[in-house]
Amino acid sequence: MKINNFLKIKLFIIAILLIGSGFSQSVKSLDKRKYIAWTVDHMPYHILVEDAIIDYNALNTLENPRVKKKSAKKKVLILKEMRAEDLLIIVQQKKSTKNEIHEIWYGNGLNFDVIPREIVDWVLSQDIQQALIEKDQYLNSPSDVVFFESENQRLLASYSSRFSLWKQHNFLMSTEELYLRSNLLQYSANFALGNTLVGLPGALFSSTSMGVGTRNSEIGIRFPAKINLLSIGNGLNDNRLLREYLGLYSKVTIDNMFSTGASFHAQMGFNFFPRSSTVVTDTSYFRKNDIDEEDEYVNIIDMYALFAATFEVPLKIPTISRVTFTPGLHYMKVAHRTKDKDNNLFNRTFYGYDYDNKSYLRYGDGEKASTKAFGLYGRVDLMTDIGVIPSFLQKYKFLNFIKINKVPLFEVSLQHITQLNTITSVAVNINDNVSFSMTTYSGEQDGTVRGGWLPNKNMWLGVRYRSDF
Amino acid sequence: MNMKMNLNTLINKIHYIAFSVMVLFGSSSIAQQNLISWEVADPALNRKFIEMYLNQLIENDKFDQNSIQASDVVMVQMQQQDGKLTLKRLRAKNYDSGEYRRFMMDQVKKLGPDIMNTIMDRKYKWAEINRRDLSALETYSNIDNILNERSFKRARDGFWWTTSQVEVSTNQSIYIRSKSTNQAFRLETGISDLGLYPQFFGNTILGLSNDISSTYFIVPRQAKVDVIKQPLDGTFGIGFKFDTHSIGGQVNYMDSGNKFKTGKVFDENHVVLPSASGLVYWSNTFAINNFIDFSKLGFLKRLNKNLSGAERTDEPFGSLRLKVGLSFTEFIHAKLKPGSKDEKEGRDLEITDRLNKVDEALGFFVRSELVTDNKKLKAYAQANQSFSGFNNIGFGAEYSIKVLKVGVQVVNIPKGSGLEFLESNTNDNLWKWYPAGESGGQVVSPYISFHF
Repeated sequence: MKINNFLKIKLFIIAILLIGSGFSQSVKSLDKRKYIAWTVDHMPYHILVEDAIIDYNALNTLENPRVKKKSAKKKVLILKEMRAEDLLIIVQQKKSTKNEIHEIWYGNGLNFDVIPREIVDWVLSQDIQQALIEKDQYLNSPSDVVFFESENQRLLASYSSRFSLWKQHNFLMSTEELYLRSNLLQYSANFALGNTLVGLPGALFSSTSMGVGTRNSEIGIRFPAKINLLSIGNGLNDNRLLREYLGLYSKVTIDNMFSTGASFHAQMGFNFFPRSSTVVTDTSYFRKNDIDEEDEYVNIIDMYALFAATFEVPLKIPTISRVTFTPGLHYMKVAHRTKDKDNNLFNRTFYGYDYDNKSYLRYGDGEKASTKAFGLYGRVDLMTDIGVIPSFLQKYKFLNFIKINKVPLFEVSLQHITQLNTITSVAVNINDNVSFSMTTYSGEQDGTVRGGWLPNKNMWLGVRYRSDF
Repeated sequence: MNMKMNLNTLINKIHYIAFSVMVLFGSSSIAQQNLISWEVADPALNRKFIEMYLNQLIENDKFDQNSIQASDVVMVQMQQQDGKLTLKRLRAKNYDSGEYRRFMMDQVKKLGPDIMNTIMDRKYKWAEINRRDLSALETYSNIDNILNERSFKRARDGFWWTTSQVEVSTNQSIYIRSKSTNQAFRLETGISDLGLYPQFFGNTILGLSNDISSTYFIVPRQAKVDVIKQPLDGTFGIGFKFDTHSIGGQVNYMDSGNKFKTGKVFDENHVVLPSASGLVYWSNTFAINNFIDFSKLGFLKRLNKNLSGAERTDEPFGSLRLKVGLSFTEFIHAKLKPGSKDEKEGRDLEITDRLNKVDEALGFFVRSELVTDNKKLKAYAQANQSFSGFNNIGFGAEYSIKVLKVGVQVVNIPKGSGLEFLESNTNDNLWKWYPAGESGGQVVSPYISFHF
């Protein structure tokens, strides 16, 4: 009997805890059918609202003896101060006869404060409200934050995808990139050593890129520098890639394309390289002109481009919080050259010799000295539940150093570009700031771009640190 | 003894430091005063407060000294100092006469705590006050009202896409803009920001744009304008473009490895192609006052009696956006390789020269854009100058009459503006490309647009 009672009490406590945990995950949300919401990206308006909240609080502060008397009767709502890096979200009722702000949300990540309709008029002047409601007149972007029904949805939405140009944190440093973002200027500086998304990780990218980014775009310069960190494998063949010329690159993202929920991503880059007058059609040219061995078969990434759309796959897999699929089109054009000691370039029309047939292996008919590789692009990204260490790992005490709250434990991706390569990546977050990753590269045999300048296999280890400063 | 003296010295020093700290903190607390000023925008409360005040004056037989009217608007200024909030000044503003009137504060105090607390609590609709209002409150501000700071979008939208939902123009542009998603389909001709105007670079830009960025395909098409002696050729390519309040830019690439059809290039022996290009610029937007008295221009008055800003006022009537940047354009010169004369069959290019060194491809870009607040008038002026010697100036204006827009674009190519290429891979002969001939030229292109 006693045991039964004990069990009942235990079950009751568990039920309370479960219900409690269930409640703790639900957050205030609005009906997407009834409201529209957007973030204010125009910093002067952001500052106006920051100041208005300070003034409102000053007028209602408890240090004010006049309010003290009244506060005994009715509690005055004091608002949390808005920070420069907070998102400012304006909510308007759809199809309302009144052209007015319904609510104002501000905050970041999980924590958002709300200025309800009742006090919007008290906090903000009519002029500011008028300016904020006219969203055609200033820079803004659609926001779904107010429609999320659980903390998990908010965390997932704020967790940056690999394609995001505007990262979750304003500082990110890894073996692949350095990202610094100014909250006030609303620009970021980006420095990348490779570009895994276009199938060219590490030194295969043939350049180091440096650019300036906005929420939806990035533009910059491709520098002729080789940096290949934590690469494992000896078949990279990247000495066949010429990295002596400057270039340009750009990336663009269009979120929630035509309200479909899918995000469109595009990026491209190209190099400026000099003219090449002479055509090299066989190896005798190398001997006649005393060409160094490493300069005989050199290649230049003339141009690369990627057009892809990311959407969330409606799959329910235990412990997996999000599965995204990114189909797209990939394009790469490679110029094949030979270089002499004076750095002059010559069009090279072949990439080897077929001893069986006693003929040169050529890129195409005539004097073709470049390859265009059109490929289908597919990428799948999976991540485990945010802030959760799967139960089968929890029993290993030596893993107790893993402390995650706002990040998933594992991030796994598989990327395939037809006729080019397959790249898989596994990242393990050991806390909210640091992760370790392993990226494996597997080249396509007899791929479109022939000449053995891409490796068959390679592996890169990676470390990533991200934080807010 | 010596030690005692040292101790005394130390105590004195501590006293001195403590006093200094007190003075410092004292002065900082004196400095810690904050003024919060606003105008009551709730008509009922304005009326109620002023009526109560007027009744108070009548009651105390002071109405003769009063200048405040029932239609006036109350302006409040609170002072936050030393953690306390007190009413500093109260004024009545008359919108009709523009006058500011003082309340008799001894009478205001007699109104009772309820109405005074209501006024000071600011739990009602209120409005910002401007610099003139502030001076009436005997306060002077050196901080600009941010609301007057122009959002770049006012000027930008007129040139980035359209301020309407659909716009079709005879200047070979179409915009279809979805206001609910802030995305648009864009069809344009030429890459004007780089100085490659549709008058001599006829390629079509087909793109998808949102508020900040745009991605597009470049589709080859030849420009046909009489003044232009040799237009630029083009081929298929892609481009990205972005524009924010301070920084903007674009990157374009056309694949010179594509096949070119006979008859689809202007001159088989001299194909000139801006194969790769980039642009980065800084921009700022200013409010502009009505510096010209349009009311004196009779024809403008007849054209539209409601032209905003027609009367000379101090209020801004438009936004002026200035852009200054650097461009980098690689031009290639090529000739079509020998091949079939069949117009349907493509031929490769034999590239003879690439102008892509810094001293050849780098250029400057300056552009100003003007849009009036009523969106009826827009105008621009632009100059592109490259180190390679290719320069041009463009300007244009457009006026909107209901669903119709009437506009004109002028492109001026100065004398000697062009590019110098190696003509062949076999000799060092030079060939010069002058789009409008060596003596230059000017193209004037009027157009009309319909927008809904």
